Amino acid sequence: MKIDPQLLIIDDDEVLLIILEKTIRKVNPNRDLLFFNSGRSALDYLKSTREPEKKRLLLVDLNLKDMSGWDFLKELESRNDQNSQVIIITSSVSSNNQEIAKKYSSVIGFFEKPITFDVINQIENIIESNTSIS
Amino acid sequence: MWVYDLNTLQFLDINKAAIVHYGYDRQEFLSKTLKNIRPPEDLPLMEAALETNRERNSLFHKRVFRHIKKNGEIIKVETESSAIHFNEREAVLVLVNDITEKINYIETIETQNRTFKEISWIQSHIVRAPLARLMGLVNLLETEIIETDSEVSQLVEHIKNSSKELDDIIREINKKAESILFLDEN
Repeated sequence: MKIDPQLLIIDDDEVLLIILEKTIRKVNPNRDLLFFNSGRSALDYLKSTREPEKKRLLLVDLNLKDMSGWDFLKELESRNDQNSQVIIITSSVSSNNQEIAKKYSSVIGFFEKPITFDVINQIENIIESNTSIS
Repeated sequence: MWVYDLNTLQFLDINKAAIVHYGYDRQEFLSKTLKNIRPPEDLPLMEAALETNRERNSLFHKRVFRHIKKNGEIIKVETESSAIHFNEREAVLVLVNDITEKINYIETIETQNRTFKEISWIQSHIVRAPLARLMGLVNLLETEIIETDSEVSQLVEHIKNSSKELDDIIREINKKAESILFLDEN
């Protein structure tokens, strides 16, 4: 049985997607996992599958091939979807990214790549504390 | 330094330095107006500046303009003006400083800073992406190898250390580059 929230990974780095899938499955094999290699495909999916109770967590890379992670966030937030929350992942190490991320209310986490087991565990903790609050 | 007629813009007096710098002799200068020492494409700018002077009575601010010498060379100057009476005419006394070199120097530095910005962006995004991939793969590899195969474990450990070193270097460079950015934005 796949458990909530649904995890959407939005990143065009194929190697990273392999790493993420393996790592997440080792930590939590029951996660409902979906992969998108462009911002547009993820946004379209969210639009077409919008359900009132479905909670989703999006892991979004800042450097997508069709748009920046920030543009993705702007569009997501314009839809007022309270069920979709975002964790930003990025391979860049410039310090103002984290500052910019704070301005988006849907962002509940920020991690620099590589996404290690440690990071996945932290994400699982975030999920847990979120579901226990709601 | 020179004096020009506020209304006709004609030169009423010039000093030796102006003669030497601009290349016109005294007679030539006195037959000219302000318009003659501006590059033709800058004349609208000059008209606008004079208009502002008249409206706000603001002759006193330092301003930067382009002037053109007799030999056609274009220079950048900083002028400081004050209203005076000269032979019973309304006139303006102007101090002129050739700051061409200073401005060129600043422009070179600004171009360099732009290049630094670019390099820093390449650094922090493009260079680090494959490294992040590498580090991710090594982490995964660590969990896939059998603990008892100590040789492979050691090799993986070395790879891990080297990538961490590389990562530290990239972060270090990035920090330095980011400090340049903030100076520039001030």
